[in-house]
Amino acid sequence: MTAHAHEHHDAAGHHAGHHEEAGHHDAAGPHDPKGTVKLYVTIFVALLVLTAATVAASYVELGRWHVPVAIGIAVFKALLVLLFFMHLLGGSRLQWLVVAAAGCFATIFVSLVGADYASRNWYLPTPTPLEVREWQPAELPPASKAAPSPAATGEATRAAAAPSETVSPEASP
Amino acid sequence: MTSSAGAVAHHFANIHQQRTAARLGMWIFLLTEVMFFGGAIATFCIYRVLHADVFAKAAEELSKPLGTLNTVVLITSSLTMAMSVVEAHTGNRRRLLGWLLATMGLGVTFLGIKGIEWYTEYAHHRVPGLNFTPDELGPTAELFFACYFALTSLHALHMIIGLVVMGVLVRLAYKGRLGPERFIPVEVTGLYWHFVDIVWIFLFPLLYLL
Repeated sequence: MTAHAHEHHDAAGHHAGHHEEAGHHDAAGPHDPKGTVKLYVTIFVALLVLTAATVAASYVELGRWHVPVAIGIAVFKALLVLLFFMHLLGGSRLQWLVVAAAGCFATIFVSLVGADYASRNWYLPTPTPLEVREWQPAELPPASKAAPSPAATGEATRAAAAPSETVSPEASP
Repeated sequence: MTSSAGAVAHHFANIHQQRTAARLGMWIFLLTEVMFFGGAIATFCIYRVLHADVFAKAAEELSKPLGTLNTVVLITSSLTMAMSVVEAHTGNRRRLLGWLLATMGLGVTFLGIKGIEWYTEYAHHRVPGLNFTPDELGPTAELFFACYFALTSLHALHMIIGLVVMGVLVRLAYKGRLGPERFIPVEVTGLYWHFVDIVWIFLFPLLYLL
């Protein structure tokens, strides 16, 4: 069985499509299973250490670095899985193309959604960051408190939707 | 893939072209999954920014220890899945079966721990649409839990699909129909499983740690 497989492999080696195969075979193939296992265990340990690091970092007061650290570690972990467990490293150029396409399009879509939310108040004379009014117990009933601040004009539709939301918890019990 | 081991379908020039096509197909499917989860995660992130205070307080209700444990379980299952691929290449049927079953066991463990978490949240009346009752955090917390249940259940659904596919692989391996000439089914399932792992790698800090 194995001998036949190798023979087949060599015969196909002359085909044009083989170069895309070569890297993958080296990474996960039967040629060096021991080295592959060693690499996998190393990556596994690295992932465990990074998990411990991200949990530990969540207990530390990092201020505005809290989110970048958590996301940074997650991206690094994802890269380890992608490059080594999924064999993107040494994979064919087609695989890289697909991953790059996924990355590009995800970035475009998420950026556009973010740009929409970030720029919703920009038409105001003095653009202010978008603020969402949270539910406040003292604020009830909101209908009587009609004192629109100049910056809140753009929030008209949002504010209109808020009262129905804020009344329901009081109404249900 | 055709039913007989290592056979080349008539529309492929050789087995290598066929394998490259199979891998590429899975990568393209995973690309669509990036769009799918990307949209869901982006929704969560925007609400997380808009309702920063309430979301941060609501997230504290989740169990960090259980979330961490589940992360470790899933990372370990990625290692055992990678080992399955190695053994599919070497053709050691017993080890292949062992690693596949270990991966399935870890996957079921993950879902079990997730189930315990979900039950705890149900017991605390935190399931939107089922029994959500606002407390001092107000109704905005419902938005957090809606996102939380949507994201974790979509992820769990992907894991269940992965487990079903692995069940098929176990059957194939048991019958001796996987090996050095036919490892692609194990390989593409591995790609899928690692992707599901990557999704959790992002969900864990976003939901539990921020």
